[in-house]
Amino acid sequence: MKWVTASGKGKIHSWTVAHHPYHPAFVTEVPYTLVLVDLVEGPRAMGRWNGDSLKIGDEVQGKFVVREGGSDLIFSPTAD
Amino acid sequence: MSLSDKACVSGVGETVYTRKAEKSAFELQLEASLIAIRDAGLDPKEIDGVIPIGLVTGIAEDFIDNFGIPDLRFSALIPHGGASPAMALQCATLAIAGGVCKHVLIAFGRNVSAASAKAGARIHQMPQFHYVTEFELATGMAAPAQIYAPMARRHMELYGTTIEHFAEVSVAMREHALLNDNAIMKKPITFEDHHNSRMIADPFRLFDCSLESDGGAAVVVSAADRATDMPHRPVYISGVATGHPDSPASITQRPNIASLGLGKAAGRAFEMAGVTHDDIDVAEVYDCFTYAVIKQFEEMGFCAAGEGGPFVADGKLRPGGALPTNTHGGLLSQAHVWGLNHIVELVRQLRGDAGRAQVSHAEIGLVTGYGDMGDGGIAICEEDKIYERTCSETCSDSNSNVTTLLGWRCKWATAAAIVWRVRRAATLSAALVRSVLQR
Repeated sequence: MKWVTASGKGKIHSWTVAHHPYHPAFVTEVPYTLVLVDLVEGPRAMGRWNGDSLKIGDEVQGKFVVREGGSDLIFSPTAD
Repeated sequence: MSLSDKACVSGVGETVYTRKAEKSAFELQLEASLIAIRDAGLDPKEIDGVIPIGLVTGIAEDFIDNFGIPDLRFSALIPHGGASPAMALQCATLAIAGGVCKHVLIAFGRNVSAASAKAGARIHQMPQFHYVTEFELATGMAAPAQIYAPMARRHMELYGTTIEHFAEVSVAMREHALLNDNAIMKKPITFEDHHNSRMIADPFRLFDCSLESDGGAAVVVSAADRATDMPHRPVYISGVATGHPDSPASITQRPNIASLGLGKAAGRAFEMAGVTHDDIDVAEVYDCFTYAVIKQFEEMGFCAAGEGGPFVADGKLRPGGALPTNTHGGLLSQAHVWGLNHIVELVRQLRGDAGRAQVSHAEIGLVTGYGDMGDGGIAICEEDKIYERTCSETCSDSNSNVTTLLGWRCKWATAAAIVWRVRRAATLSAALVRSVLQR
C-alpha cells in the first residue's frame, strides 16, 4: 500500500441536494449539493458541488479550497 | 438443524403512537412489553429471554427489576438500527431452538419529541455511524435522508425510476394508515400532494420520508411447543435471515451503492420457509423512505434489479392490491418505531385480527428490517400449519392429559386447517385455470 497523489479528476457517481438542514452547522448553507465522485485513481470521494445541473457520468475536477479552520473538497464541471 | 417453525410469535403490543408523548422512551417500552406479554397469555415473570431494541432505553437488568423476572436465561443487544427488530426474530429463534429459553421479549420505546437531539445529530451518537460522523458529516451529509438520497438518484438515472413511483409508495402507505386507528397520519394524500411536499434531500420530498414519532412496540417469541398454551393463534417464524451489505458502515464507499444486506438474506429466508414469492399474501417492508420499499422488493427477488418502480406502479401495494404492503401505514404514515410495528402488524394479519386493514386469506407474509447503511433482516411467517400438526399429535395421544379446553381448541385448529387447505387449493386451481385460459 502506498500514498498516491490524486489528480482530482473523476466522474459523478451520484448526487443529492440538501434542502433541509438536519444539523445546526449547516443551517446557513442549505441548499447545497453533495456529489459522490469516482476518482480516476480508483477511490470514491464525496465533496460539495460548484456548478449548475449535473448528471451521473459527468466528468468533473475536484480541488481543496482552504477556508478559515479547514478546507473543503469542491468539485466543478471539467472545462471543455 | 433448520430454524424453521421452531418458534412462533405468541404476543404483540403497541402503545398509542403520538408526536408528543409525555412518557419516557423506557416507560413506552415497558408499556408495550406488558401489552405483548398479556397478549401471549403470560405473566411478566415467565419471560426468560429479552432483546431490547436500541441501545439507549431499557436493558436486561431493567426488565428483571421491573417485571420481577426470577431467572432470565438469555439477553442480547442488536445494534443495527431499523434492521434490529427483524434480526431479533432470528436471534430469539436461535435461543429458543437451542433450548436456552422459552419466551423472548423483543421491545422498543422511543420518545424523539422530548429528545434534545434530532435525527441529524442523533445518529452520530450511534457507534455504527462513526465513519459517517468522521468522514462525511463535515461535508454536509448529516442525516439518513441525505445518506440514502444518492442511492435513489442513481437508481433513477440508471433505471428510469420516477417520482411517480415514489409517490405510489407514499400514497399506498397512507391509504393503509387510514384503515388503522393507531396511525398518526389521518388525511388522504394524492400524487400531487406528494409532488408538492417540500424537498428534503433531492430526490426525497417530505412525503418520501418516514415520520419522527413517539411510542412503544413489543412482541413475544415463544417456543413452538408452547403454541397450544397461547390464547391467540400462533404465528410461526418459518424463514428468517439477516445480511449486511458490502462496506456496511459507508454507503459512499460501497461498490454498488444501491445494494442492501437484504439481497444476501432474502434467498436464505425463502429457502428456509420453503415458500416462493407467489405464496406471500401480505408484506410489511421497512419504509424509512419510499425508495427503500422499491429497492427492497428488488433485493428480495420479487422483480429484477431496476424493475422496482414498475413493480409498485400498478397499485399492488395498496389495500386490496395483489400484494398489500405495510397494511398498518408503515413508518411513512403509521409511526416510526424502528419497524417493530411491522412485525406487530404482520402477526395481526396472519391471526386474522387486523380489523379494517385485514387482508383476506392472509396466510403467509413477510416482514423486513432495514438498518443504518443497509443492514437487512427478513422473516417469513405463516399461520396455523404447525398448529394443526401439533394439536393433532396432542389430540391423538390417548395417554395424554388433554384438557377439555385444549381438546376444543384442537378441533377448532383442525377445522381451521381444513378450511385453509381447501381455500389454498381453490386459489391454486383458479390460478391454474387463469394461466391455461391466457395461453
